[in-house]
Amino acid sequence: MKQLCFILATFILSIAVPSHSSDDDFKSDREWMVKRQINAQGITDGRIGVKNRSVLEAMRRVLRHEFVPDRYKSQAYVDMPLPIGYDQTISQPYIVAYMTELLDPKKEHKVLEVGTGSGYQAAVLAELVDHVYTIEIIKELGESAEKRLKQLDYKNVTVKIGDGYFGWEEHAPYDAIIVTAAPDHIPPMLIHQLKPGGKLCIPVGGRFQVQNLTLVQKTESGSIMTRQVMPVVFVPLTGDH
Amino acid sequence: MTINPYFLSVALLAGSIIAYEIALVRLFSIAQWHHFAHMIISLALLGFGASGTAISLTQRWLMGNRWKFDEVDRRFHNAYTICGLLYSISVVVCFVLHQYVPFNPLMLVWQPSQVLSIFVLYLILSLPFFFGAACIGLALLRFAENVNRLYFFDLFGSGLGALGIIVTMYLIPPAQNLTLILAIGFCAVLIANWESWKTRQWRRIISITGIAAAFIVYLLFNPISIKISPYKGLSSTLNFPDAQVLNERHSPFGVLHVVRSGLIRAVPGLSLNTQHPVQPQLGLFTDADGMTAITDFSGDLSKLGYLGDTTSALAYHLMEPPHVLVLGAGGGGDVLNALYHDAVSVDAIELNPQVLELVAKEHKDFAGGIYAPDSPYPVQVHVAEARGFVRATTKRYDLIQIALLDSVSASAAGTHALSESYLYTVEAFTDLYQHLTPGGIISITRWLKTPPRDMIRLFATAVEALEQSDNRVPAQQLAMIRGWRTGTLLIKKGTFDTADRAAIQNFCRERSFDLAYYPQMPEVEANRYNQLTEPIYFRAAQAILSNERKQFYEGYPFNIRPTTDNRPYFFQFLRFDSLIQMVRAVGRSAIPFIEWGYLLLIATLIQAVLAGLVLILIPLFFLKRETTAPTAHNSRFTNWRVFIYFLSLGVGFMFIEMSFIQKFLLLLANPTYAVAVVLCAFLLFAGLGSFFSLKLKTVVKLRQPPIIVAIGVLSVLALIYLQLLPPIFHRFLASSDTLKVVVSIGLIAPLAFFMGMPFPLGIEWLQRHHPHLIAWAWGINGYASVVSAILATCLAIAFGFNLVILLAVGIYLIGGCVHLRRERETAA
Repeated sequence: MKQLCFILATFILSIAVPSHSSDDDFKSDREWMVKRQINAQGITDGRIGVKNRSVLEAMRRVLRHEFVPDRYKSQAYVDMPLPIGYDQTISQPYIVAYMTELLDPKKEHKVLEVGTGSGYQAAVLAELVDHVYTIEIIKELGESAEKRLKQLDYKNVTVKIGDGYFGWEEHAPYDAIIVTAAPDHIPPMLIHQLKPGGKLCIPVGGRFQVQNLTLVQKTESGSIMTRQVMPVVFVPLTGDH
Repeated sequence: MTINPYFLSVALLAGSIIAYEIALVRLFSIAQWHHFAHMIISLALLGFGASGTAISLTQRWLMGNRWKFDEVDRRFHNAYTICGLLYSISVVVCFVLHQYVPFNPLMLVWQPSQVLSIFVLYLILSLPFFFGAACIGLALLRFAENVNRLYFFDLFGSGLGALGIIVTMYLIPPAQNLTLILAIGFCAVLIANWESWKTRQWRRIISITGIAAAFIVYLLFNPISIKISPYKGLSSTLNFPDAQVLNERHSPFGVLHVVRSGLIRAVPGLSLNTQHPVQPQLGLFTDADGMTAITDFSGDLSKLGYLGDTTSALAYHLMEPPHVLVLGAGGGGDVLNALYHDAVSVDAIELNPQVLELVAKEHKDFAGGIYAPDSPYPVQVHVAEARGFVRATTKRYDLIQIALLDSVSASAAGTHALSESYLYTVEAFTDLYQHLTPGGIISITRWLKTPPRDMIRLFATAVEALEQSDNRVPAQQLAMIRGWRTGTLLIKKGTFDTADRAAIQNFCRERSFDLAYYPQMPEVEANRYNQLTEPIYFRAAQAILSNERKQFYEGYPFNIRPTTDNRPYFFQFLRFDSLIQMVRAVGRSAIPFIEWGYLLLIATLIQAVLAGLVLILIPLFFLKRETTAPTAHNSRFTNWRVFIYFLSLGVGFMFIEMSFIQKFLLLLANPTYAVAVVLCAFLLFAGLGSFFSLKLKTVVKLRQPPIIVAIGVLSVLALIYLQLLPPIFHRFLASSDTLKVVVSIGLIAPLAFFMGMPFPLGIEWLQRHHPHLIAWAWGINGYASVVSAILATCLAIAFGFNLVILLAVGIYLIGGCVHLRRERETAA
């Protein structure tokens, strides 16, 4: 009996959903993803949707299925984080879009990303800014992301294998910095490499959890402020408070 | 007196089953997370009850023709041997097999198909419990007339098993304990085959020995490995290119890994303004998560400047160089913080001796010898549980620091929701307060959660603790600040004066920390640097200190009421009413606010109750045919009374046992030893109670049936203990560990003795009147034990342990009443 159950469960879990044969097949998935999971007008579950049109357009353009392992391609446009190997995950599309909007990206911006992962966030940013510098500590991940981004013709992304803790002094200062893994403190060097008026976005929460975001802003005078930004509006539901 | 070899075999099996359960909890805690361990193992334990169902359904065949003793013996003997062998083998095989099930608990929310994996895990892991319990159930059926002795061996073996596994956890790696349990299982089977030795049935003996030897030799050369979840802190850190495990230690406190990597940097609560570089660190992981850092310290205190830029450094700015007590010393971060601030002396308390040993010996040079016996610094380390140390010491401190040792991700996910913490209770704060010098400060740092919870509950707990003491003015004695990830609460033995307030303001301004509360603080000063949508902390503090406190507690979407020793679940914030509303309002987006620990507990309870009921009721359809009662009506009544009686025994026993383990934690302090001592004492003395249960009537002239007497005495004792234990504990708190253990055993002995009686007396009664219900009763007792263990935790979280004890007494009394009625009807 136990063998039967195990085999049955393993079988069901490993069933490959019929895969799409070409990118065009994913286009409608992508459109659905943006419309239903990201766009402020389409979201009905209480989350704050993304309003920035250029961010929405970038999310429509970037082929997310190219950034996930083959076995997860069919789930690439579902609003969930997915494993990408080396114990890392690609964030859910909503978080990627929301973080990108928080940074308020402009065409002339130079952005630093700490934690390249599969390169998806870098690709989304690359659609919106002048140049993206991205650092990945895990060599294999960084190299495959670099190769993938090249294949997809992202010329304005530079990948470096190394420790993101110290930022990338050579190209500093940055208009925006995005940290994709939440440490228990924000490295002082990253704050230092942020332009006055620049923004740093960091997600707080474990993998596979919907994450709360912290936005760090460096004012023109150089002082630092943070703002807790949540993917949903926290409305106390009972009583007066 | 000769001992039946089966009884010895049952003792070994019972011991190995409980050892297997404890080992599984440890292994799951290392590989996954504790709250999932709790759920999966609780459900797997249903295998215990399922064995009763299986024996019920097969007992006609098993017992065969009652007059052909040879046939009965042969069938029983073969069934026992096969189940014993399958138990032994499945202990290891099922553990190895379960690691191949594609289960990622973190994906549960996202991938509903993970539920299938959970059910596969239940099935696989329940097999050892099923086969092991089947052996005991079979023996119960076969030797029902000697149930008192058999149950004695069962409980005695369980007690020794619980104690033994704690010892072996020090001696051998966690996964290899399974090999030992497998070996004990095989020994039990060989002992049960004693007759085969005597009658020289060598083929059988050689077969059993051969299988055992093959497994043991294979496992000695191919040790079982644990697949740690890739999403635990240790796994992530080992992905760093230069990461290297330097040391590994194991004990009942957990598995420790020391990892070296240039990329490890842990400074909880570091200011965004800091200009000081962080020193290199080693990562010290407990159960593959919850990292604490061992800092590279050369003796140059100026290199530790960054520690002064954490929220927990605030207290040092409000006092002269202090005498410091650090509760939860870990890798030494807070000790270094104290040294950086010129502490006159530091008493560092750590529960896990291996943590101290690693820092003091293995990495003495790296850590600058801060924990070493010949330390050049005024640091003294103590292996102790924090609360126990504070209660026992007569010293007074200028500053008591409660360290932040749990990992932020565990905190965020609510994985501690089921863990009791006697350090964050009203009574604990009162104890700490009494150990402050005049003007001294308690400083507590916690991770901040969104929406705010921990710090608000800390504040509420502190206010209540201060209010319970005389001449206290909480509004003048508290201060609270927060950074972007951590918050720190200060409780002062005295009032914060103007100079203190100015120092707090300066400290926060220089580091961009936010003021959350200090006496006479205006709202305009709150929520400046790390902005929330509104100054929630400030307003919460004001509400708690005002007359509107009750309304505030009721209106807040999380449970932030103060925690007490009776309900020590500081990390349980979930409120079901709010959760339901939140899910209705925001759907899946409510996920970040869900604390999984408590929800999984409820899910476990529901599954256990449903599975238990189905498996208990199945045999009823078949048992009808075998009943000896004259009418179907009577048969149904008998079945229901047996059901209620054995259900009440299972529930009552577990409720009392679990509640008193928690109560004795306060006296014995060290949680691991406390559980071992209390559990072992309960089982051993309950075993003795069982042994003497049938003699009760002959030794003492009783006017009532022995069951009623036993239930009556244990109920009275439980109620007396409810009142007497606190003053008794208070009397012995400062005593030596040995005396505390002796006192604990002395207190447990009489209660457990009488708790061990109702089950064998009930089986003996069944043996006389309804023998076909014995296996069913065994199953009911098994289910009741599993369900009540989960239910006790649910109830304790909601209402406290005192209520659980009161309920246990009530449930026992119901069982007693049912038996009394049954007895009278039978007599009539």
